[in-house]
Amino acid sequence: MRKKSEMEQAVLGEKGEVAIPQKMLDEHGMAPKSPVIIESTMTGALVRPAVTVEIREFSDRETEEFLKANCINEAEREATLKKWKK
Amino acid sequence: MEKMTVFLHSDVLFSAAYSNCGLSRAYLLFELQREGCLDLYVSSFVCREARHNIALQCPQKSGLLESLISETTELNDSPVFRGHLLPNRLPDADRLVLSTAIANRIKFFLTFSEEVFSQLFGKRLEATFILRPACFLN
Repeated sequence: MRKKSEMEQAVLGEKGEVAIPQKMLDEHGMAPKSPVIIESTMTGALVRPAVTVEIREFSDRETEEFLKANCINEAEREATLKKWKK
Repeated sequence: MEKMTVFLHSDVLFSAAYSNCGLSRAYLLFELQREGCLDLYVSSFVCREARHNIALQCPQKSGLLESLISETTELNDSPVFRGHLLPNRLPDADRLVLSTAIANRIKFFLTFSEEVFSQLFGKRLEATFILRPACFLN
């Protein structure tokens, strides 16, 4: 699904630091001093931006809106299933 | 033929669990996946938001929600807010969720959030169409 990975070679510094190429920083929305997550994977260490977005609580009005739009009657459900299974 | 890829916003995942397998468009999407008609995707943020709201509003459905999540493919949240594509007024949470679908080149992004997505319904951003579940199913 994702576009093909791009790779760059770099050399680790004395303290384990590594400079990420500017092009990759731009592509992934990272900038100096921005928080990142370092993940240990099967093939190495993956550095990705730490995204912090607050979870929302749905209001009663929103929940009502969702559930109303979610309702389907039996005939419509059957017709939809039939159409998709073709 | 390549299967249709469908990304569910947290309101759709929440509604699928809340409605308890009844006459529900959101749940119908899971039935269609079981029939092999499409592939469902969510993101880490979508799962967290759906879990949080089910726990608050309908905790007895938490088990069903987990079972539904296990039927989907969970994508990592996209770190890149595709700001050049998305309206400025889109809240950060929706921006993050939609960016994840776009970054993964998901074909359809489904949401019940009329107010937030009203201007985006029916539009395509890169490879992703934004639709109401009813429109998608019909």
